[in-house]
Amino acid sequence: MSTADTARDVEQRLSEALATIDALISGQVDAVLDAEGKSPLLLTRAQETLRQSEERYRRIVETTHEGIATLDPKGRITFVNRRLTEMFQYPEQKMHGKLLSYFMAAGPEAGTAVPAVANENQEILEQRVRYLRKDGSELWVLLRMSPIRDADGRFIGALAMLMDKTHSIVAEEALRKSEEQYRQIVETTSDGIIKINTHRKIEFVNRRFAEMLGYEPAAMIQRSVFEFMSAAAKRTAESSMKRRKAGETKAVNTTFRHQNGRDIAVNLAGSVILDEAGRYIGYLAAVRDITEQNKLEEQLRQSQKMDAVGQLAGGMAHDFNNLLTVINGYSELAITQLQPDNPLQNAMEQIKKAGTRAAALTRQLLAFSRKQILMPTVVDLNELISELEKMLQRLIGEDVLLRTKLAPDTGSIKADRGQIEQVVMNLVINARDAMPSGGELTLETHNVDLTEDFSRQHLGVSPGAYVMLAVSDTGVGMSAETKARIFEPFFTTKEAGKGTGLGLSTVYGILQQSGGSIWVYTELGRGTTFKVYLPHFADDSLRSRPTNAPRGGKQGTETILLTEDDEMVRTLATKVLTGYGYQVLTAANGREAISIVEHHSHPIHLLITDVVMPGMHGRDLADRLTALRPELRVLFMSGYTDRAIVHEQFLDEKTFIQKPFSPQRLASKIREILDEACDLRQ
Amino acid sequence: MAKPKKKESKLLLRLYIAGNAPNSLAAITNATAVCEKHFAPAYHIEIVDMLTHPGRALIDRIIVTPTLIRLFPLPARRIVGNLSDTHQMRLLLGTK
Repeated sequence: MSTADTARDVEQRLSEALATIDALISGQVDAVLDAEGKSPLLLTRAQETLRQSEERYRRIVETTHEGIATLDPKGRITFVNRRLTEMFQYPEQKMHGKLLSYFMAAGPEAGTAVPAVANENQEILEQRVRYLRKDGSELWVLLRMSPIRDADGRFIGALAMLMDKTHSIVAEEALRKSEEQYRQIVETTSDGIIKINTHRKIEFVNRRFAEMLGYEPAAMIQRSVFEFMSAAAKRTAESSMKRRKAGETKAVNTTFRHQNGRDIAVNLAGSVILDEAGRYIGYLAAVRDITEQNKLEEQLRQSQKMDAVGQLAGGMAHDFNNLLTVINGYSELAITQLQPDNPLQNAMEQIKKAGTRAAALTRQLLAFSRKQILMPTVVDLNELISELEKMLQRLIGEDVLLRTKLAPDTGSIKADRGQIEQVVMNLVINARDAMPSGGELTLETHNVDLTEDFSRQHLGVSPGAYVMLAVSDTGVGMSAETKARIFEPFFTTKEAGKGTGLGLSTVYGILQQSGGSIWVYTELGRGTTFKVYLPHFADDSLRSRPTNAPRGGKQGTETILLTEDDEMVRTLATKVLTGYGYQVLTAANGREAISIVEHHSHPIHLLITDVVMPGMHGRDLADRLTALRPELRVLFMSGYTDRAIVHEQFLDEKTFIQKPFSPQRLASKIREILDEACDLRQ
Repeated sequence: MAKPKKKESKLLLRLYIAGNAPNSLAAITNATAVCEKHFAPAYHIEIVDMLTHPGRALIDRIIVTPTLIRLFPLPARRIVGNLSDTHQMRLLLGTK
């Protein structure tokens, strides 16, 4: 071989060797033979498999709907697929080297803190994370992260997969918010809400409804709604549901049974629930507890009834008073004028006795009808009870133990002392009669502040400071029916002839007229408590004082102008007054009285006038006449008066006499007034 | 140095392959296609599977497959790879 040949051969081999290397590099080689040619090493199969597999993964990674990133052990992004760049709206190079959390939105709902990288041994499964896109819009993803290890098992980073859930999560969030809103409405409304299915099984109740019946909401679910109703209420509910299915929408009043067995009065406004196809799948109802409302309505009915009865009784008592003044007056005159041994003496005594009893009855009727003339003074209730205690003890007898619990700081009230004594006595008698075989009677006083809440639940009571008097017995108690009627006049549970049925009516009337109120708490067999509330009165200057006893005789010679529209009463009074030695001028009304005063040239010492007269009222007349004759004294008399007059409180105990009055009483009243006028002049 | 087995005027080629490996199959297809186009029927390709005849590959100093050897006309020449490089093929076969 020539040198040139040799050179060519070498060149040839070299070029073949280079071509072999090229082929190896470009992957065109399948197998390599080792030096001994014993075991050819197959290259191409492995290479191809790898290439194909890589190609397959590349295609998956680039076409998958999930965003994919690989992170280094510190959590920095080393690779992102196209989908992830689309999701974040950042180009790949802007994402490289950053932490995933760099893109996270602020705020607590962004998702619980996501570690920068999956823990070496733990995957992150479907964590909800909120990121911000480049344009600032929010991107909700479900994030999964898993560790990547090398062939030796060393932790070399993490693979993060991010599923875009913005659409569904935003919708879900909106739904959640809207549900939350509805839940709040349902849970804060004062109405109970209940949903039942076609089998009458409870599917939902709000807390209010459960509380209304004394349960936990969960304890009611899946139970039949009828388990919470009485048989009667079940029938009402069934028929209401039927009507509702037929299209009726009116709410019904029914009851639900409380866990404690008591029925709760409710107003039930329900509607049928239909599915999308219009098939009926159950009922939804708003349930309002109307116990309080019913109670108030009942109180209103009671008070209206009492008003009506009171007006009737008042009207009658007024007429009776005039009649009784005449009957009693003449019988008294007759008694003083008859010889003691006259056989008619006893008959007249009996007439007078009956008249006096009748007068007492009309007084009670007037008290009930709140048309009594009250002379309010400041009264210390504790003092009043202490003074009465001995008498009360006698009144209740030995079988009943009387206990008093009088709070020392109990405030004063402003009321007619006599009337309040009457209230205490009537309540004590009532309590005694409730304990025929003995028991314990407690009188209790203390100050109370009645709240707005109490006022809402008790018709006609204004909130404020009150003095409370409680009269409790350990007697037989009352049924609800009795309790509803106890204040009605002539309603009595006592045997015929034993009670007038006016005791508690009187109490009721007096308290109403005095700005107070009375409430009964009772249970059959367990006794009764009456609670009386009277407005606390802070000013002590009007404290009641014992009235001066009339002094001296009852005779007089002064001139009296008597103005009274009732002829019988006028005649009687004239007779009585002239009998006591007075000069009497009479007038049937105000006009006549003025005319007399204008024309009478001698002194007139006293005007006695009825308060309520046709034309001019007694008060106006007195004003007119005292203007003409300042020395003129005035004595008012009346069987009753309008509430307006009482409330103005112009009437003073000293210048007032209540019908029916006895001749002696009239005479001593006149002397009191004239003697005082005389004292003042001296 | 390659030794031609027959002294004929037609083109003689020997292709070393490795079983059904993809480059080997591609090389068979590519070689046959070029020969059919330019030399048919005056050509012959002997295909030797290195996996079954490693001794022959050793004799021909074959290191990798696929390798195509031009045995005739002389001088002998060889190309490595799947023969998809048409430029290389033209140089080897003297075609245009």
